[in-house]
Amino acid sequence: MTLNDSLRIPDSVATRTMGSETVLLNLETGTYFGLDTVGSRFIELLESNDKLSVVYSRMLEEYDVEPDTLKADLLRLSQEMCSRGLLEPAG
Amino acid sequence: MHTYCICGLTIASNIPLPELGPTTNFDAECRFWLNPPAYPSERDIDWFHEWQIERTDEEDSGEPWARFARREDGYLVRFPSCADFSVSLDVSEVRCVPLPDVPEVTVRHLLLDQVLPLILSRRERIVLHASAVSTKSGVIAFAGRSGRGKSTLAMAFAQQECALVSDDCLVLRRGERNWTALPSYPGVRVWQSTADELAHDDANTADVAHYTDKRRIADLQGLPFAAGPEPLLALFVLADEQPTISVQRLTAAKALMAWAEFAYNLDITDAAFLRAHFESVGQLAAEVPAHALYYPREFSSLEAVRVAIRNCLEEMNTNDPE
Repeated sequence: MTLNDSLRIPDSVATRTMGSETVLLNLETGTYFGLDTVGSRFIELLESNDKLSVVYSRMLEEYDVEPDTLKADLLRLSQEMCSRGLLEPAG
Repeated sequence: MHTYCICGLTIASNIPLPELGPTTNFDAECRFWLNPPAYPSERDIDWFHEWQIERTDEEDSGEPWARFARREDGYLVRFPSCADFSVSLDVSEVRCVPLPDVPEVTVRHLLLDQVLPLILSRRERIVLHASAVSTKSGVIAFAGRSGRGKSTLAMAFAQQECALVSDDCLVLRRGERNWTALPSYPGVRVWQSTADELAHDDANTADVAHYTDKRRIADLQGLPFAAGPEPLLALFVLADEQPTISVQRLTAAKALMAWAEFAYNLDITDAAFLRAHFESVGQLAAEVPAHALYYPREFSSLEAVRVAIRNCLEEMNTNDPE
């Protein structure tokens, strides 16, 4: 996976924002997944623009974080969510 | 047929269910038949789900405690070492075929404490694997995995001017203003050591099932039972054992994850049901305070645990007098 990828939440996933956190439910597997404040912001941005590169640039502006650290964290989270069926390639 | 009420459900049974209270409503919503014992004849069953229970290495045979399969006319819930339960699609009929030599007390336990919670999960918005007691301010519930101390804690509270609402299966309904907890049926199931420590000396105890040493205590003098539905005040998750007592508020998201984990669900592959249930547990998590409860599992700590929970409830009341 790279920042050139585009991702979206599949129709088979339900989401619910609870305060600053988000819970996702994969309706095909019945498994739940919780996201903290930063992870919730990632999903929020991804829902408005499916390009990881755009989400990355926006989060780099918003958070006090090293570019390489953010990139690694975003790609790791994206990979994990894809493996759980919570994200899928867009377009 | 004998007719009873459990968690607001009227059930008719072809065998007596002495654990349940009598009911004046004879319009049964669910019918149970105990059929003659037999060995399962069906083969090549496509199981879609199974339950594992925590066992010691010596006990671990690798076999699941329960398996679930879907049929054209409903569901099959198999307890491989005890019995098959066939549940109709609309959960209005349950038929049990026990293995030979499985006693009726075990069948009743499986029906009341394993199968009926699953049936209720299809009829009610939320059915939690939780014990609960009624306090002066409302119902407090204790959710957690098997063996975490739900029954012991409920029993400890029930002996201190609280009424037992549930030992293991808690039905929650959303009313116009709040969530209410429905009483399940009288009594708790605890290990003999807990009965020795907490029950009255003259309290009657009974077998729970042939495969466990747990005892059923239904002593209404020492363990008063709630008279009817009452508002739900707070939920506590019994967390991993810790040497010190602490109560930590859960975020709504963490509470949602917890209630989802501890909810009964007959069919985890029913996407429409899962979506509706997700909304329900989300609403519960947003509206009812939830806490993680850490404490040492020692009888000598129970009074301090009760005090910690009462302090937590008073603090909630101070912060939110409404």
